[in-house]
Amino acid sequence: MSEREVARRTFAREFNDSNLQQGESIDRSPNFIVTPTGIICNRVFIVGVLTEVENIGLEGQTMYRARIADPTGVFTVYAGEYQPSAALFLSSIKTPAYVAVVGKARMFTPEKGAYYMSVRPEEINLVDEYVRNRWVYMTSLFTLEAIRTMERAMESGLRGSELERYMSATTPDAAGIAIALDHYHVSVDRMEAYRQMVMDALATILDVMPKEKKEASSDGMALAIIEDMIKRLDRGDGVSYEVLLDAAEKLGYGEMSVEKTLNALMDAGRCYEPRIGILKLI
Amino acid sequence: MDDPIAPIVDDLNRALGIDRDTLEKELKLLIIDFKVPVEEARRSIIKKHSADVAAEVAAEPEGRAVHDPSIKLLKDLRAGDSGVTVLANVVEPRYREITTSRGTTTVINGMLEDSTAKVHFTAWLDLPALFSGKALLAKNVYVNGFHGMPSVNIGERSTLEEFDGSVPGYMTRRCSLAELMEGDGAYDIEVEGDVVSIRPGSGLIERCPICSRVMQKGQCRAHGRSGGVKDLRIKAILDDGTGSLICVFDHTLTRAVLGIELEMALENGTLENPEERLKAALIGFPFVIRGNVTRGEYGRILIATKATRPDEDVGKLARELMVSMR
Repeated sequence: MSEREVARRTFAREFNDSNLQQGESIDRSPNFIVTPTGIICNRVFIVGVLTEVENIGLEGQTMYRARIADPTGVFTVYAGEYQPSAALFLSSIKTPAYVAVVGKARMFTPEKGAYYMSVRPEEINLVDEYVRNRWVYMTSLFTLEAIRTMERAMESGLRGSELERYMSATTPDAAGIAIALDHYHVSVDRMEAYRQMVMDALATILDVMPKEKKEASSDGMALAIIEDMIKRLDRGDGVSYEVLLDAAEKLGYGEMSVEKTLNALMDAGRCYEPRIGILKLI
Repeated sequence: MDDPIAPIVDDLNRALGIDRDTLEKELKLLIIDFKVPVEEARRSIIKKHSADVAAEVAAEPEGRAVHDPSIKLLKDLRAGDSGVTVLANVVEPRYREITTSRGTTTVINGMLEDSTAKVHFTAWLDLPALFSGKALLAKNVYVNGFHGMPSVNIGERSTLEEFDGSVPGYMTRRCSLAELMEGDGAYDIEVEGDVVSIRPGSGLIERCPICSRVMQKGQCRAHGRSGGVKDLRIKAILDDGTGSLICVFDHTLTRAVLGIELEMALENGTLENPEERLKAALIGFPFVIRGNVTRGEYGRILIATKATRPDEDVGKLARELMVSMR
């Protein structure tokens, strides 16, 4: 079984700065884009704000072009007839919206010296602000790590296959780093600029409110746990509310959330109160 | 002028039993050379030396382990190892009847744990020491694989010694998916990643009533056609940017991650396009998942035992990261 390509995380600016493709498109081996910090990506995972969707298909063909913004720039996503579920999603969504995309990195070269980077979606879905902010944080971590690794490569003074061998002990991207260093003429200043980009990206998520603790009634884990608890504690004639509350409190659920969860279970018709203060599953 | 150092030297010498010369030298350095306030100097020296003392105490129980190079950490065990010595706590030992080619025998099953891992064990003879509740030094045990996870076997040539002292227990280890994509399976680990795909065979399925295999079109591949038992599960691909794994949620966890309404609708089979609904509920969302990684004919699979949505304050994490970059 061939290994699935890992979905890499990069910011839009670094992604769009890329113009190096590896691997032949003729055979079935996957294509890779190598970014300026040496990240080898075939599959990417991006989360951002969908700002615009255009139908650019000619003569009734399906082809949507979507713009997805992160704090550093904009990803371009194309979905045509071979990405039916992504195309359907894009045709019906209202902008702006937080979306997550899993897809393949593509490079389009219409003429010599002109490069356009895009993403061909495999999956696309509506997410929320918290998921976007977390993606910005995680992508910052990955980008910083890549910058540091590239800086170590520069400090080594090595080049080409020697550099690749030297770096392979510490990173799976050793091959990407070795070719990126020469192809992009990577400099200390350029890496410093990317570091500043990460700083600026992080600054955009600083003062957002922390995620509100989910209400217990919509908290699936609480529902599952309390339902299982009733099942286990029931010796045949139901469970008293006090006993249940005691057990739930040991797991960190307060009276408020137990009550809410019970109401949700009753509303869903999974549990009832045969007598006052006694609970039973249906 | 008062000497600020002498009374502190007296104090700390009595309290911590550190010799006066060392104390005097360190205090001079802090108070006179570095102009650290007296209280702060005192505090930092107490902290420094009590950490030493604590470290010695903590190292003690494993003191013998360190001197015995043949002791292996549980995380380093691999199927095929033999003549191994381990030092571990015994967790939930119990007698079990099993059927082998030579008839039925009684074995003892359970888990061994040290600070690095938890692994299954089987003892092939009755060893009451396993029930003593004490940590054991088990010599000459051998390791085989059970669903791709290493499993310790205690046989006739093995010896068990009760160990005076405690072995620190196992705390669920946070792993990167890259780590889990190599080597054997792992027991009780935790990962954090994003759902990037939902595999076919998720949602409402039918299991063979005899062997619990998932049936295709009402047929079990071993037992043929029969009335299947309905079950609900999700096979999601989890990706953390370093690696990816198929992760299986059983019925209870499916309910936990989907919420009760969607779960019930799936169970009743009344949903149009159940696959699309599953995707809309999960794709792109991050999860923290606890479970076991097994290795079998379909490759490595993470069997989830707990799944939650992360809720750390990323604004705060971002601030900390920015400070560390300056």
